[in-house]
Amino acid sequence: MVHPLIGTHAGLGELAILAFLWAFVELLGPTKSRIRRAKIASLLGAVFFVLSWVTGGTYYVTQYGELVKPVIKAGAEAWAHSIVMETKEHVFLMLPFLGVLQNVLLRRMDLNDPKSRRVILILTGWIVLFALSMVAMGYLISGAYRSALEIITTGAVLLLPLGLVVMLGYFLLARGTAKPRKNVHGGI
Amino acid sequence: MARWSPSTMILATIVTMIATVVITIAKEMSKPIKDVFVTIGGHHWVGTCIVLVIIFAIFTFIPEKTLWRKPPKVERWTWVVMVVSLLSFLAIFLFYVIHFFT
Repeated sequence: MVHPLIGTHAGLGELAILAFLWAFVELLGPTKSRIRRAKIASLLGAVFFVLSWVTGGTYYVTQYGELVKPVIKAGAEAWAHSIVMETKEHVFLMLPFLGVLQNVLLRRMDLNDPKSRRVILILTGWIVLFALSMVAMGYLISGAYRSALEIITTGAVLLLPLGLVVMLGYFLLARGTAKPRKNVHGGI
Repeated sequence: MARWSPSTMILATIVTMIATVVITIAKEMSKPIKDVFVTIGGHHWVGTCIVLVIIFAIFTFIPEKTLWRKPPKVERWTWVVMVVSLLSFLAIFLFYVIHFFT
């Protein structure tokens, strides 16, 4: 069964993406009420990033290292851990700080200035794209884990009938090459 | 609570992202350095998180007047933040690609 922390981590991360996407849309045509909503959405986004960080980190430290990592590394897609997971676990650390920065800039910059408005908008969109790359990496890692498990399961499923075939073949071969028993009356 | 100035927040974010890259590579290249982060947080990744939060907090709370006489243009430096985040991402990714194949 999939560990609940994985779903929680992914869910919170995706909520953060949606929140910043909401802020981005509000900032496309900023009025007083839309800026107010953008601030709420950005704050929610930053909070969700931090919660995703905590849940993902808890799963990583308590489950991933012992249970998932060895399976991926033993499978056909070891790069999913060695490159993708290693990148994700370190690059993700930048997201909560970017989220906090976006919140501060949104509250402290003059949004009547078109240059300020444009750069905040682009930063918000950038955070969305950055976070979406985390989703893509998470998908690759989960896929590699499932793929490695299928190899293990498939291997076990194939080995059993294969073993039976080998045993049957040995038995038949042994019977075929066995010397005929002499009949006590002299015939075969 | 201190009023967070945009310029110090930008500096804090840039420094934290550069620290992320430096710490990530240093940990992989040197076991003693990795052990330092294990000592800090019980796990190297937790230790890294703690150090980055401390770095961010330190730079956030530096008064703006201490850092510069005239604060830099926030709009221009926000672009720098985005460029640094992209380069940091690529640096970490490329490091692990090279690490995997060598």
